[in-house]
Amino acid sequence: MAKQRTIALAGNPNTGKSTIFNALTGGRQHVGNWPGKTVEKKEGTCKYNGSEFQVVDLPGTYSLTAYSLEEVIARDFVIDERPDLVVVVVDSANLERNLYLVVQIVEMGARVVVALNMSDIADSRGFRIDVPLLSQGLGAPVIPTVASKGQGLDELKKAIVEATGS
Amino acid sequence: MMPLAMVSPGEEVRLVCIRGGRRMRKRLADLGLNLGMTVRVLQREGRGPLILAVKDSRLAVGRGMAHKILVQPC
Repeated sequence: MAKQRTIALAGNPNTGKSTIFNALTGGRQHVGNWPGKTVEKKEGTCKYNGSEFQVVDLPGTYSLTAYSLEEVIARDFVIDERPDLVVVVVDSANLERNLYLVVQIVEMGARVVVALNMSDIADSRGFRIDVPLLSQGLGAPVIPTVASKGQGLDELKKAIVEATGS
Repeated sequence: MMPLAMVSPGEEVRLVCIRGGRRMRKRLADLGLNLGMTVRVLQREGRGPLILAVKDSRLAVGRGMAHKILVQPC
């Protein structure tokens, strides 16, 4: 079996990282609708089409210039442990603020897949996001998801497999 | 002009001045709070942080910081 790859879930607080983590790993990480729910990193494994991944759920952070202890945990993991892939979970209804972190992670040279989570809420607010253009601008695959309803997760897994080249 | 910390819950205000150092400005930029934008105070209880509504999401800002952010009603 090939070396197990590590993917990290990063993103602003309260964007659904843990919901995606649970959906990928079948875990039962506690999920709550308030910022700052996850304060330490949690790990699990995800299997898809014969590939196996180690998935790490990081606490939410607004930027890589870490401010609080949870943010330091998230930053140090992305910078020091160098995961094979960082899945940045963003709140589609709040793209402007969320993309700030995405760009910081992309600029660090990490391999990135963006999960446009809560895309149903963005839809209901009337936002139309040009996914191909966003993907082109960031130089990373962008996958719309609604993790709470399980939408887009297969596409996300596929993108993870393709991006890590396994 | 008044400090954000003085704004009552429910009121909507525009950020006009940040009286803080480089670190604080950076932190506010990280949070997506910039001059000229409009925020609504959702909660201000006791001495704890304020909860703001900024573009469809909630954000908590410490009382100390909220005293250094000057706003105008809009």
